[in-house]
Amino acid sequence: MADQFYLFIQQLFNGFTLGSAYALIAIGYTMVYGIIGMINFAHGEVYMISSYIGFIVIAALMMMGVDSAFLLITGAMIVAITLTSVYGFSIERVAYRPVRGQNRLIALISAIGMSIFLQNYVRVGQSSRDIAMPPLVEGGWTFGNPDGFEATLTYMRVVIWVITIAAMIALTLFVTRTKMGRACRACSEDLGMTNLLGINTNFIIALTFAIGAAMAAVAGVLLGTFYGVINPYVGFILGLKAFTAAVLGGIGSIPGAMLGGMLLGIAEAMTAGYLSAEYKDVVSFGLLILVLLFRPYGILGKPEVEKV
Amino acid sequence: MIKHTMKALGVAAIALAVAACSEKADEPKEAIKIAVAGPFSGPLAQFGEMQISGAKKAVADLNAAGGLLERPVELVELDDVCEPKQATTVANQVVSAEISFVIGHLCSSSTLPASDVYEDAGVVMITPASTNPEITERGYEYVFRTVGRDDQQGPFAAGVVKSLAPTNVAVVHDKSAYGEGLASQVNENLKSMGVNVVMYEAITAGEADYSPLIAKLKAESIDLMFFGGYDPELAKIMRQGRDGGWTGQFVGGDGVSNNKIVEAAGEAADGLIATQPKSYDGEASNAALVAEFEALGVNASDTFVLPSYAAVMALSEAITAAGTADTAAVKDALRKQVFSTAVGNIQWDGKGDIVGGENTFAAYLWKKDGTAELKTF
Amino acid sequence: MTQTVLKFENVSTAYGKVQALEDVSLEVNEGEIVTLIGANGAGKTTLLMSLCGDPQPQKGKVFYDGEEITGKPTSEIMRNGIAIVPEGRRIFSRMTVEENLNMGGFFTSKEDYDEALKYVFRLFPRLEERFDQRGGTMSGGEQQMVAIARALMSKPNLLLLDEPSLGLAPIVIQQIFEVIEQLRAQGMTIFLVEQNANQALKLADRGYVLENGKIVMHDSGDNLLVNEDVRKAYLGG
Repeated sequence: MADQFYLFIQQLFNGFTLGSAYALIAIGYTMVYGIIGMINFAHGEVYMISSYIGFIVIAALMMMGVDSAFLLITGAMIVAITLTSVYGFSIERVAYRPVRGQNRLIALISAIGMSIFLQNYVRVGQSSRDIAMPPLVEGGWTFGNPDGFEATLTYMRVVIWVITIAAMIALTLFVTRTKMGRACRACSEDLGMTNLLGINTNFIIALTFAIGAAMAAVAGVLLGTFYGVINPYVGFILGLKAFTAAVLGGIGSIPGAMLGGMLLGIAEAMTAGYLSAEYKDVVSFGLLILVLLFRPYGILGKPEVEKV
Repeated sequence: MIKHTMKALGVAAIALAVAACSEKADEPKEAIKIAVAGPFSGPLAQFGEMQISGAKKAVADLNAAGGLLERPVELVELDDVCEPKQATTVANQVVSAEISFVIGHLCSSSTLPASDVYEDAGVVMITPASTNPEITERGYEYVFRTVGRDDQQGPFAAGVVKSLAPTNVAVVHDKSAYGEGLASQVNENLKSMGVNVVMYEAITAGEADYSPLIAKLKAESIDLMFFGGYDPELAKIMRQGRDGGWTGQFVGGDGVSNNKIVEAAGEAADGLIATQPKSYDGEASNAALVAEFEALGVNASDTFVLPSYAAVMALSEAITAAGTADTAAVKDALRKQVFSTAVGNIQWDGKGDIVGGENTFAAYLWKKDGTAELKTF
Repeated sequence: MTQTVLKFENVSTAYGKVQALEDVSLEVNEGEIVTLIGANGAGKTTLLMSLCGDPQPQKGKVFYDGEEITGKPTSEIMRNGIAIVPEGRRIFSRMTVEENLNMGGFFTSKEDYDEALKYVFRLFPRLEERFDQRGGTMSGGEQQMVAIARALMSKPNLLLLDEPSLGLAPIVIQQIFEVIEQLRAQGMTIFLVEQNANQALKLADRGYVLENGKIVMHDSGDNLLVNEDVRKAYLGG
């Protein structure tokens, strides 16, 4: 009986970790949609690129003799966040602003094109094979029944949760308490009016892209080092699932993205653990359909006036 | 007057004759093209590497010895990224380029659809790696392989598993033609051998997180997991398995048996047992060849290097024996004799399989330093 | 000497394929209330929005405080002392009153902001009570107060009002117009677009009549009130 409990706890741990990744990446999708009504299909690639940046920075630091896991991860995150924010800023100018206001399909194709470009850019630069890194933070707690089932909680998982929660709190504070954050919210509610208040909405939009990218970068570095293996295509599946999570939680709503991400991660872990890994995706997408049937705007979503 | 004309005519005639002769001498013989089709980019590119280095050396050796039927041999490299749709495109490219011989493909999921095209067009195809049984079960005449089949590797692998005497076994696959094919063979054989298979599951390749699977392994007290699939996936599973506290034995097939898996999984790969086509690099008869490969920077013990080399060499022998590059004759010639190759003596049966293929597999123990040791069980 | 705060010189604007404004010229001087009246669809809102740069005029020039602002991006135009209370109010319903006012006073210095806040609370004591209430939960009249207050937070020189009486009960309309009166008394320059011609003309110093995108009449507020054609068309005979 106790074994069942520990197994459940273990799957919960797995779910939270996966959910953290989905939540962080989902934030990017939801913020961009909230402000300009567009799905940024190139967003998953930000996760992939920051994983690579993380690997490269950590490898470089290790060569310089740094071996504290704390410093390595912090260093990787600072560089990844900086670079991906710049990237997020510029991708908006290059791929999306020129086609803003035109047919939505054009923006969609532009985004998908950007995604393919990035995957192959990294592939050509780095090779399409998996790159691996030895675990940085080892060890963890085990508890449970040594004769039956033992749940393991690795330290790295805890690191991921703590940093994810910190990032989400930071973002929430930014959005609710700071001037820029309020401007972001105003833009997502009424872009035209915000312009009429004298605020440069183009800058706010670019800032939104940058913030979304930074969140994905946190996920990319953390989970890249956690799983230890990356290739140019990891962003694709994760991006797709994170997008699903954003819709599940209510696209356009930041708390929705966080909630949707966690829910999806836990649902997947539970399904893979108790049913079979094969049904994981069936359950995830089935959940999405169910929620949308009864709450078409997602769990925390609100009915929106059509954005122009 | 007439004398001049005669002279002129004579000179012209000689000139023409000389011109005709030199033209014949200068005219380059048309090369015999051999296509090599496999994954040269993508997550399984390391297998393509093995395939192409074996084939390249063979073609180089042939040309150094004067070519084939006094014609130079040309190698054409075509990338199918191990994707069935791409494989069909490549096959169509081969046919429209009028290439008659293919060494490939590598992944069974590519070889299956590509071979349909080749059989239709009468292109001779020898795969140095695809092990799915169905490839040679369709009555095709132009399809051959220089490795065994999964319905031979399966029983062999099951035997390896049984000799490790596990209590609870899990069989996991990646839903690919190769992976699922091999896993189901292993599963059936294990059951008929009386081994306790508790779990038979599929994962989706490309996913990042396998921790729920690991938790399941622990919950069901699995002490041995057999994986039908390729090394990128098993590397992640092994890594997350060890991180998650699973201490059981990992066993896999030829899709995981290369040192990339140690690169990706690090210490977690230590102790992996994998079956694969026997490595003939240790044979005395191959000593010189292995040294030549080493000089080129190629590790001849990599799974598909020598089968690829052997495929080209056997093909060239058959073409010479047939005296023509006409594929109808060559395909018959491939079945008419025993070929002495770098992977042992090969005799092809009516289906295109190696006679005695069940003896072509061996098991290797992988260590964290990236080397593998032949193990007998 | 009174300054010309706002000047339209032969402005023509198209909204998509529709020619919304044709050859419009008008002036608003310091301390005046100037009103623009006209029927629904005459182009009144387009005129205001054209001023703000959204859409940009195709022909003609717009001057603010003597400088040309034609063609400048909206956010730039609206940072220089012009504030708008737009049609439909457009307050941020997901934000509280406080946050709405924040947005209005985005660029205002702390001192000016505090001063403006005190002023706004005097004008609309209700807003101080409901400071933490979300905009979406307020009545139409209260929302209008928020919209006006938001515009005042930037301490503008020129206040643009687009149909402030729309959808409001007569009592509330009365209150709103009293506030506008108070603002003029404080010296604010006001450009008022209104369908309620009666109230607007009573309040305004001067008025323009817009018909199908063209200015057809221009006179003092009092004169327009007694004008036969205006009475027939806009004042109910």
